[in-house]
Amino acid sequence: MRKREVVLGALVAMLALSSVSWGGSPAALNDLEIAHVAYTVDNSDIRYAHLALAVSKNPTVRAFAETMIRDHTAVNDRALALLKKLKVQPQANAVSQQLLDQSDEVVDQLRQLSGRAFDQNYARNELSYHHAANELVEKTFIPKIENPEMKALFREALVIFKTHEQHAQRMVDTVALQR
Amino acid sequence: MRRLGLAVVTAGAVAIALTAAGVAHDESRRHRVTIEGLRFTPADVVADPGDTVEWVNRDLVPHTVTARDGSWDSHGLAQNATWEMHITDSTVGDYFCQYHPTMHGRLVIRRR
Repeated sequence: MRKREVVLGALVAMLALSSVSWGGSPAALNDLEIAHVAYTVDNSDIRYAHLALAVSKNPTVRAFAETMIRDHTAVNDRALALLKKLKVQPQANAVSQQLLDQSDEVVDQLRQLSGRAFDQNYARNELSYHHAANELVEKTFIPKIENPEMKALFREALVIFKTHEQHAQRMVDTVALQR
Repeated sequence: MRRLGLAVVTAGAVAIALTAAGVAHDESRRHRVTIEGLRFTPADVVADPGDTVEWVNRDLVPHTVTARDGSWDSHGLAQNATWEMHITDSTVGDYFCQYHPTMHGRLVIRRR
């Protein structure tokens, strides 16, 4: 591995860990703002997955990325259908904006990596990202959401994303063992 | 009438004996596995060769039902899609979801 990639890899790992703390006040958001944050979380992960498919040749990483695109797209489609049915629009807010900014930084850093350095950092980022998102959804958003259909959708999505977190842990372990 | 009754009882006894011995097994069964909450339910299905197993995906996200050794595969099942498979003596029982490798199921096949 080149020295530059080692340094960048460490930076990405730090960035991923820093995303565990959410900006703004997630607990103060209303249902439509929460919907916007969730949509942004989904889209950011889809973005990371497309980058992984463009950069990585690792079958474990590529399979995970394809699942992220498939699943997060399905969840987003269902969320948009519910919002359409309720005749409301998601509302942009400080939390989703900070999330977008962090996503830009992660993509910028990952884009400079290749080979094993990319695979390891993509995997670690997916693990920490899903862990942080799941904590936020379970402990802050679900208790706070008022609309019962939206609450049910978040509960269903949480089960999916917890499985992604387990899958990400396996990917981290698998990639670490590969040469 | 007494002779007819004896014949019926005898035929019934022979049929029970043959079935118990595994010689005759005409009644194939149908089993259903529901995929929901990223789990196969039931995770274990006890089946005989000749039975049919049907999987239905109730999850929001797509899944596959794939033999551990790759010998059979549903390919992608969208929400509410079903897929079924006829069980034979050589069907491999351990399976998983290719999209979500933490999901496992098992067909316990009673070999003849």
